[in-house]
Amino acid sequence: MMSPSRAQKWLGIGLAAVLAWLVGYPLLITLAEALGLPAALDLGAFEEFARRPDEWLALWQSLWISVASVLLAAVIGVPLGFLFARNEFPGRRLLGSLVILPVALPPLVGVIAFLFLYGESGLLTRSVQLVLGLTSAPWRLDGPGAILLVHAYSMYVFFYLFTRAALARFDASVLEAAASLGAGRRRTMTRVTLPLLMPALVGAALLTFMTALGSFSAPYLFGGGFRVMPTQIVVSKLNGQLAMARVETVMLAGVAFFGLWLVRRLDSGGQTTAGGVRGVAPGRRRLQSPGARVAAAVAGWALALFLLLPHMTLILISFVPPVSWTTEFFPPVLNGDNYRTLLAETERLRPVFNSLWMALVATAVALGLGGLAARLTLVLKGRLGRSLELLLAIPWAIPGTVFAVALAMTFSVRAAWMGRFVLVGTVWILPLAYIVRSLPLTGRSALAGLRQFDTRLEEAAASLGAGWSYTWRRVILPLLKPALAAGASLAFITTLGDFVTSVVLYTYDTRPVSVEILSSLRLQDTGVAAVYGVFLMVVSATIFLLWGRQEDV
Amino acid sequence: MSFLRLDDIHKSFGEQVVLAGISLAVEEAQTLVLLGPSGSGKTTLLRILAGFERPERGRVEIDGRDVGGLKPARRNFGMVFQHYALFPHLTVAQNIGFGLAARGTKGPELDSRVGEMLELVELAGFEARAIHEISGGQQQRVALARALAPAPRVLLLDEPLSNLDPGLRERTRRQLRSVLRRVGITAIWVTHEQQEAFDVGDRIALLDDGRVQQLGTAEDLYARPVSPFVADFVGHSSWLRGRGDGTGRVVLAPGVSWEVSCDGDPPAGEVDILLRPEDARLVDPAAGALVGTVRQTRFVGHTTYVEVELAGGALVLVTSVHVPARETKVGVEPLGGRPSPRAFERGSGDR
Ligand SMILES: Nc1ncnc2c1ncn2[C@@H]1O[C@H](COP(=O)(O)OP(=O)(O)OP(=O)(O)O)[C@@H](O)[C@H]1O
Ligand SMILES: [Mg+2]
Repeated sequence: MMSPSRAQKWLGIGLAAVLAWLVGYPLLITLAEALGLPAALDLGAFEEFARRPDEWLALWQSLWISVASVLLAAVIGVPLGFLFARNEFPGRRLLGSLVILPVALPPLVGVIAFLFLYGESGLLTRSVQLVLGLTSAPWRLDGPGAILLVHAYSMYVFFYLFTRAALARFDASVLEAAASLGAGRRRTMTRVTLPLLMPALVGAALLTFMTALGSFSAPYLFGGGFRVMPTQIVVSKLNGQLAMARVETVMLAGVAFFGLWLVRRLDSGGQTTAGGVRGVAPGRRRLQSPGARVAAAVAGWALALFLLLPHMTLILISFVPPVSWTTEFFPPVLNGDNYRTLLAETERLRPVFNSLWMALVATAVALGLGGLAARLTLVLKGRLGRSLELLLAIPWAIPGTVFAVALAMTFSVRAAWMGRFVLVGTVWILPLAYIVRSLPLTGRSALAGLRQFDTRLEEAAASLGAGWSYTWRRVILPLLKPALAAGASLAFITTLGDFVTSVVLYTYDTRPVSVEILSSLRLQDTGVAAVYGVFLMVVSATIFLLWGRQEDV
Repeated sequence: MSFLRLDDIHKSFGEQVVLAGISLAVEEAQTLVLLGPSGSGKTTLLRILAGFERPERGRVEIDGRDVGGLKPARRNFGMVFQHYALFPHLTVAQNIGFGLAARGTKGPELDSRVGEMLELVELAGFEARAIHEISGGQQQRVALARALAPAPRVLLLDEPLSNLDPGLRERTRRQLRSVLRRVGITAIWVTHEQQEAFDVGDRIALLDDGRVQQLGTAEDLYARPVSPFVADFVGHSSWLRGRGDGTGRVVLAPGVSWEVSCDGDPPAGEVDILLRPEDARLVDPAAGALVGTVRQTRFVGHTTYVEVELAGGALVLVTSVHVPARETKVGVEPLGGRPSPRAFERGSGDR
């Protein structure tokens, strides 16, 4: 790696300042204000928090829901990862793509799809009710059970992907060595395979825990009286209890940082890659007996059906015209009325337009900032480089609600000399929030791409007389393209369907699709809500399948 | 009755026939080397022995008992893998003890056996190290100790030295060989290096084209190759053309005839004659000798290789203590007091 130039150093300092202002500053302001600063140190708000049992309950419920989500996701995702990595069966490739789709479904869309499917008047609920001749719905989709169902559905993908990637990197001869030393299947699994898989599993657990801890849509719509921290914060804020909202925000951020720290500690347990040359990954076992093949295929397609049922329900509901479906088993009328309504009214198209432009702008800016920060992280190394890397990582560990509230509090005050402006209520606050949320996605992808990039290529280009712009255009960018495309796609999908920050920060003029989905639901306009959902789902899934995966595992 | 017997092993991957009827036998406490070019199926044969692959046909017997139906874990064949395949999450001692623990050995018995193995491979004091904290040569010895610890009936080694750099390779080779002798284990050692094969093998099986081309001692393969392919694969060979007279002599040029040896009846007709560099000498270009021109000389320390282009255009390599100047005329003839050069009938084997 070439040593950094003066210009790069100054660029690094400037970028660090911008990122600190965007990412670190709002959190610090929130912390300071929660502590009563700058007036005087005042722990009153924290004491109030400590006195209220409902706050402790929300904290406790956040924690156990997150831990339970990790366990559920692992129980589904890990065996699935083994199934797809180790076995060959009919339909494996197609199913392999379907299995990761839930991760591309915006959380709010997933939640309403579950509502349409398993909710009180959902498709499946009705069917069961009619078949069994019950007078009321056989179950209710609310409380912790409903939240965990949605979490399990969307978060097992982390375990699945991490397990598959780790197994693909496995050295087959290590397994053969265990067998030749007399270890049976069980012993090989517990003593060799699982220990070697541990870093991947810890990574997946961390990702799942963080996602579940920050999860907002499911508890917001299904929670009812069951509060977790993110919903508690939003309720406090909407009720105007700003001091309490600040403390809750600080507490949730604290839990997130603690989780991050804990897992990092557990993870640094030891080196798990062997020195020397590695062999090849074990091949897939073709299921031999016809029985096993049929069983695998049936199980696979049943799984696919379960995974796709919410998507299909959403599409179905989008074709049900208003008040046409009352007590029937299946909607009696299907037509394109909802789509026509939406296309006919510009007011209804506004959210689509808003979401698109804000997601595009945020993605583009985050891509530029994240890419530049990643590059400078590697070039500068040292303290400045590490600060940049940290600033890129922080928004990833911090739940979306925390950021939304912190931004709302920081940028509702005018104090230009302190870097604070009134942005809340303007067009700018949401794109800004989206940028912050996207930074870790674009930045970390760029970092991963750059780390694999052989810097000797850059030196070779320089020795051939290429200037920096030529080198970037012809060498660096083309090689980084897959990583950048993956990061940008994830950022775009996340911001396009964002609900958690939007619900705190939107204005009527910038209301995004997710907020409009919610208000359509409130107006009993389920068909139109479903159309919006289909829009988000189709765009997200398409982008994700085309560019969202950095490497095909 | 041999200790380990392979009988008529066949193996294909899809269309590609890799092993087309391999039969071998190894005596107890001996080392058999499987030598062959890349892709000749050496690893495949080893994996069949270990039970990782199933042959389409053929038997593997130990002490007269068929082990073909046993899973790898029940076969008790130790294996040293090409890339070692050490468990990266375990220490040196835990790696070595893995097979013992899998068989239920515990406590002091386990410790003492692991200690014994560490002594054997000269790694005492390294037991607590992580795998990435020891050198390549040491990893190699840990792999050997790990395979030997459960006292396997047969030890299989797949190119055990190929990961080491040349200097280390020779030293580790000697260490490995002496450990095998001391333990007195039956071993099958795969390599594609002739030097290594000659050094460690009591007997050598040369594999090519899915078949055993020749099975014998190093001397057998070198001095009495059964085909031009074997001759070319082990050591340097120069080839001369001639016509056999059916009495054991071959005419190479007008007035030049040599005595040759061969398998079977003395050749009558076109033959290729194998000449090893050390089996020939340079003489004055007089009548009765093959005459040629010195094209190159290569001094390698203990001798000098002289490359001579014969009148017909064939190139012959000869060792010599005297170094003739380039472009001088010399004569070439077989060195007396050694077995006569081998002759192969034209079209036997693929030259
Ligand atoms: N699992 C497999 N599937 C398909 N073909 C295979 C498989 N294993 C080996 N082969 C093929 O069988 C042939 C023999 O392979 P093998 O690894 O036994 O050769 P080798 O003698 O060990 O070669 P090398 O010296 O390069 O290690 C090769 O052509 C290889 O491509
Ligand atoms: Mg091999």
